[in-house]
Amino acid sequence: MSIYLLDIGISNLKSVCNTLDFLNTPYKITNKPEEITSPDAKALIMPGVGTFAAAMEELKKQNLVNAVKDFSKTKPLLGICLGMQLLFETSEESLGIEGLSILKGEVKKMSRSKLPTIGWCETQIVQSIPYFNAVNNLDFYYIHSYSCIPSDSNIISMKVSDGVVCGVRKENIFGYQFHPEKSQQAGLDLIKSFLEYAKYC
Amino acid sequence: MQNIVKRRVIPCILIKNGMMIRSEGFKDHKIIGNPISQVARYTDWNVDELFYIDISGGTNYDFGRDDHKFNSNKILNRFDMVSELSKHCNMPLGFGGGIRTMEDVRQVINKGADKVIINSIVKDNFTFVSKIANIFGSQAIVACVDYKKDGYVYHFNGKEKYNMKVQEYCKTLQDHGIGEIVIQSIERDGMAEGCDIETIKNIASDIGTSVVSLGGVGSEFDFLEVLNSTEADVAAANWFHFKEQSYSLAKKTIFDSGFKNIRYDL
Repeated sequence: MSIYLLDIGISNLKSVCNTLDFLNTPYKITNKPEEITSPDAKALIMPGVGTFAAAMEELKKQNLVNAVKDFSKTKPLLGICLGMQLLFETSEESLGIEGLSILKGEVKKMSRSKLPTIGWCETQIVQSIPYFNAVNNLDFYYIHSYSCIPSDSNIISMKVSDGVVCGVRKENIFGYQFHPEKSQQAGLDLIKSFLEYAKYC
Repeated sequence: MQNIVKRRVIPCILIKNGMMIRSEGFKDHKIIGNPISQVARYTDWNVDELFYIDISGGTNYDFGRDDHKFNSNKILNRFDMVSELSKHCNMPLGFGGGIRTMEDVRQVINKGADKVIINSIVKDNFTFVSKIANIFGSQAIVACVDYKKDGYVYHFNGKEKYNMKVQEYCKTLQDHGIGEIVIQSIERDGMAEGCDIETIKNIASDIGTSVVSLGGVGSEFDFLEVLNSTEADVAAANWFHFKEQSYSLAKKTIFDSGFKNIRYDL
């Protein structure tokens, strides 16, 4: 059984690969629906850079939409940055385009004065995350203009001090708006926690 | 002033033909070492971010020697270098230098950079910015803007004057969806005489995107001055290479002065 990394052609796949290499975790890169739905796929990481529309178009083109949706019903799925936003239904960035709709809610442009937000923000953990021990607020690295607004606020796991949602968790589904793979030690610990969760899932 | 985001201090590595160099006035380039070991050092130093700018101009790399930490035969061009560097990079990496096509952009992102830094391609071609922004998002695209004391923007390593002043140029970049702007004073490059606070301040308060100042840092207090007097973040190249524990010294100086909105482990 393996960790799979979803390649939709426009993502920053390499950074996530580098992190998994750094953590000595073997993984497979895939863009094939039959691999994602195969029993070999233990957990799926969906990184992302780009626009909501461009990513959804790639997912559709490669017939990945249903495969990822099916996967999310039972197995550990982690969406990073755009990958987190894709879990939701719609985005203001690309009106009229449906997301994966794995989680209920929308993605909206943030109301911060300077956009995109680029940099390190202090992040509050509002719901405990399995295998992740954080006592204090942590700094994570963000690059985004849009943020997720889940319909069910109970799935929110992390927030920035102005209320922007930056982490969600619904059972086996995890999403982070920031880039854990670029957030030095705190980020490495968070990725480790997902891998640990996947191991015992 | 936005307090949500911590202000950044960013080391910048300049590369020519695969070797790290020190630059002065955009002309005088001296080889100072191997970029791979320097990136590993910056990771250990827990830096906020890294800019990596390739000014080779040519297409092929020649390291001239083989005692580096990597197999230099495998690194034939600047994109291979991104791959190699990103392995050692647990922080955000912005790559610039010689970006001319969308394929270049795709390569740089796929090889592990988080941001693509563009410069001369923008000359009479601002729509290139919007094209990148439409596919990769604004956050993935950074413009490096070189200017001189006359207030005008220069392209091609400061060699070619462009018919637009730096302020108007930055505005236009913003209108085309740029995510971030690095402004660099050509005359201050390598002079270690401090940053051009006036220009940085005006541009950073004028435009809605992140602005980073590059060039001129000569002491740890120059970082503090940029952070205190402007809304911009601050990058430097030479200064970090020639000082022991330079990065932590810069951070400590900033934090101890009472400027707390930075990443700093006590």
